[in-house]
Amino acid sequence: MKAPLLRWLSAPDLSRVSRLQLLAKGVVEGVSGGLHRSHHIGSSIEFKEHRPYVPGDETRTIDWKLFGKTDRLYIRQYEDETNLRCTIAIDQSGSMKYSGSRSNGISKHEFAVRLAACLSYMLINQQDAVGLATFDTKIRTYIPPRSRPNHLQTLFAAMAESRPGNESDLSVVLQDLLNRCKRRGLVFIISDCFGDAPSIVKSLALLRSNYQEIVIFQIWDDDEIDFPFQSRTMFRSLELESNQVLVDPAGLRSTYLENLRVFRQELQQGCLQNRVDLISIATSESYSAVLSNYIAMRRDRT
Amino acid sequence: MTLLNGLLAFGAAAFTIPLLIHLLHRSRYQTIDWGAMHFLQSSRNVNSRRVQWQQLLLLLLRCALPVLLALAMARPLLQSFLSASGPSVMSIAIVIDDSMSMFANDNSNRENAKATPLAVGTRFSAACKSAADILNSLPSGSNATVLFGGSKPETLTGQVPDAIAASLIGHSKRTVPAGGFALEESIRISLEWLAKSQYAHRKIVVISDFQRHEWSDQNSVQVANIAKLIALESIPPELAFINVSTVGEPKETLTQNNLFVASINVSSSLMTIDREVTLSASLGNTGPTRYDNVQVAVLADETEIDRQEISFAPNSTTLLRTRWSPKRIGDHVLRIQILRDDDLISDNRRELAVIVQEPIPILLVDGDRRGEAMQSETDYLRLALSPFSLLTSEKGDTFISKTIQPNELNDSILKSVRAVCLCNIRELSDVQQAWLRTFVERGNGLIVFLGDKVRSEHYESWPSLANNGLRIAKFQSRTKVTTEHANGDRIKTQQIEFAPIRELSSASLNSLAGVRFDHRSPMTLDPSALLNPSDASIALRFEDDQAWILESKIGDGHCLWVGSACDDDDSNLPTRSIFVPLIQKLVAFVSNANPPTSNAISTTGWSRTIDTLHTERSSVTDTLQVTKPDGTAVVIKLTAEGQLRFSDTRLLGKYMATLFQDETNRSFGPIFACSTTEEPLTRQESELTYLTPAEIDSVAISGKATVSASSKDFLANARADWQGREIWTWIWIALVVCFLAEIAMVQSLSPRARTKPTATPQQFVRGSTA
Repeated sequence: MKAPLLRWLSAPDLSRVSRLQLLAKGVVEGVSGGLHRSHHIGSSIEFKEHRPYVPGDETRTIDWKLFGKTDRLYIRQYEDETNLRCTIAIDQSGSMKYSGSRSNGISKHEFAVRLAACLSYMLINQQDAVGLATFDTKIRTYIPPRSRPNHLQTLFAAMAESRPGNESDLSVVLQDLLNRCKRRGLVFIISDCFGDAPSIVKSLALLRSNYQEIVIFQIWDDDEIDFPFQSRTMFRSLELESNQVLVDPAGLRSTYLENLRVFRQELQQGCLQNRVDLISIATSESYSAVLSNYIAMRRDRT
Repeated sequence: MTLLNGLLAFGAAAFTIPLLIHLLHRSRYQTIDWGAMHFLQSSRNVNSRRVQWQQLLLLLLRCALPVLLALAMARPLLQSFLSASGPSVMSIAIVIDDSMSMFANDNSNRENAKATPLAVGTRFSAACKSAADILNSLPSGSNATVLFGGSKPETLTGQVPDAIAASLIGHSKRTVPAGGFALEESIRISLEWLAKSQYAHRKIVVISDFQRHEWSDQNSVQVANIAKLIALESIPPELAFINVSTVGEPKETLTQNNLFVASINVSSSLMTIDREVTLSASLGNTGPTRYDNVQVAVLADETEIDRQEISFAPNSTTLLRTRWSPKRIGDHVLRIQILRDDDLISDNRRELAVIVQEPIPILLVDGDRRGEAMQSETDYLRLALSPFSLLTSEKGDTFISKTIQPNELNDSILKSVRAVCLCNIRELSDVQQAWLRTFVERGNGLIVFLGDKVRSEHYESWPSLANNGLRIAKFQSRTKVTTEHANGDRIKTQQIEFAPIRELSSASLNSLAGVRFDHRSPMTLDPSALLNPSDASIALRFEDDQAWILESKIGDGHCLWVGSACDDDDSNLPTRSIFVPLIQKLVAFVSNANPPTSNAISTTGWSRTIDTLHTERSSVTDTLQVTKPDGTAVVIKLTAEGQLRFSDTRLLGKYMATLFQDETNRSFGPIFACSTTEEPLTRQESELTYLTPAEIDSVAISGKATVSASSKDFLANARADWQGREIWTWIWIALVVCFLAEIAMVQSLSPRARTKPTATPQQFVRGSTA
């Protein structure tokens, strides 16, 4: 059996992720220097990169040595850096067990675990502290954030033991996280977020008020997005076995999509109001590519 | 409902195929373990009921397809409820309008006929043929009746439709109209006949030309009444109208020109031989076209006596006058004939039967005889009764008078006269009174003129009417009219009820109003002298309501009491122009003289006293043959009183009656004639204007009736009721509609059609918030 890391992360994924630099948008306290910019002017100011000079830049930031070598004007950029306390919350409710025909056999939960593995790997590599929480109706497993390299094995082992199956209640879980994350940090929530959108938004707002930056990776299966079923179908709940309905999906589709749109709109608006990043990901996509795009987007925003 | 191809109807069982498919399909479904139940739960409640209905409707449509296909191929025949419940026999009453306007040319046939108007045929003949068609199309076993609905509706005998239809073909050739269309009475008779019918399916069919004059009034009143009458029936029959006025042609294109003879009159109140009378006829033109120099012939007993050229202005009436001197005693028929063909030929002629009689012998009894001319009262009466023989040498007086003294009055002399005038007689013996009583009872007349010689006490002593006498009043002595009498010197000429005077012209009545009285002999009706109050009455009175002329009926005769002298002693009456006609009217009245014309109203019948003076009653069998205007003859018997009474005078025209002889059974002797007219005599029947289709529909709605534009249309609808209506065409249409509906529904319910284009999963996740 492969080690958990190799089981979930392919070689291309690892090479792509290793080149990523996660940039926290807000101010994050850290015990050791990292790649995350801080508004505090401290002793650990390090060179970031060169970029071409454009009119308006301060002339004192021009790298004259480089000008002498290349005869071109470049600006030296520096960044304040600090360590980041990250907590990755993985949803292991029954609905995460769904695996559609277009997801290459990967369930939403598996996708979430792989994404969490990537994030953990990347963050540990840049000396950030990473913790893990798995949850359904409540937090089942909680590993506090550590930045030691061997902490990655602990995280992967916990991820490997995660089994989806129960009902979910994200709002309760978020309130529980609020009690566990006392210090400023970054919380990654990897879930399909199925539930009552206003309750979830309310809990996000509470968590956000506790100086936690929140990033939600909302995992979708393609079937859940376009509801492609045509013939008469018995839908059996993955969370509660007694819950099943026999319907004509074609007749139901428009209403389903409307419900989906309303739910998503409510969640998006709540996240926007609370400055929470909501990243929707389909299991048919490459999680490393999604992660790469998200990091690039954050970089652009800074 | 019956099926022509019944076996094919079993194909309807194929409806089970889609039903089975549906049920099998319902039991098959896939199962998916699903996470996003949150979005499904709320959707399911909203959609499941709608989907169930859609599926059910689709199933019904699919089941209906084989059923409709099988039904259409089985050719179902739809029958009415009543006819479907048993044999489709029925009772039908057909009312044919045979009023004047129905005898207009049937212009719808003109194109085909390309012949003279006479060959075109009339609307009446078209109506008869339509009725015959209907009768021939009736289901076997049905019974029917046909009425001619003109004035005094006539029912054709027989109830077997085929026999009536054959009879109708003969009637269709009739060219003589009846009086105005009596729709309500016709329907009433039809309802009485239908009430006796044993069949529940009942129908009344009215065939008419919907002439505006007749139907505009009926539109508002009669047809509504008819609907009420029909509704009162225990089994209300269906009412249907058939319009036979120029079927298929718009009314506006019709030529409405029609010349007509409205009426004929004679000037004289009594006609005698060699006495010239003036004939006047009212002619008219109802159309917009002017006619110049139209020949109009005047015939007496089918012999032309005059011909005139008359021009007719559009929509006008004109008067024709001519003179005629009868040369023979007896009945004559005068006819005015317009010698020009138009759309309605029947009203181009009109007949008038006149009676020319011998001078009537009148006995004048003079109570104040004087030697000088024009001094005696009888001189004035002779002048009034026989003016021609006294003043000129011409013959032609209506009356022949003979004057006698009171003592010459006896039973034998009374046998040769028709009326007696007692002029200023002082007194009469009891025997003479008895003779006069008997004389009057036999149907003769008596006029008593009071005067200055009259002894009122003597007249008071006469036996009363109740005691087989003549007296009906109490008498007072002659008095002078003074100013104390409020207008007591003049006659009241308003509200006259006495028929002979009421018939006088207004000019004559004005002349009568100008008569002034110096003296009068007061009379007061004595109720004690009468058996019944109605036996006597005041015929004319003075302005102060005192009686001037009293009238009583005694037996078959009449007696008049005049409260003044008939000469100029009491009044200026002899000097007034009213004198001669007044005296002649009074004497004609009491002498029971025949009126100058023998003109009957079509609804009342012909009644005529056969003049026994001029027929040898002993040699006849009291049997008469009456020939009607359409040429048919009827044999009738005289009444016990020797009267001819013939009620079947609904056809307009001349009726001729002749006596039958015993042995040879051949007619002989004088011919009695009668002409019939409508009452009131109007020209509207000659106006060829009709209700528009919309107005006919309105009439039909008020009568809860159906309207057919022609007998063909009626039969098409009627056959559907009687024999059933094939409805396979409608079933095919329903089949196609169901088929198209099924396709449309399948398309709308198909997943492809119901799947709106949505964002791909990739587009969906790109829309995330960051």
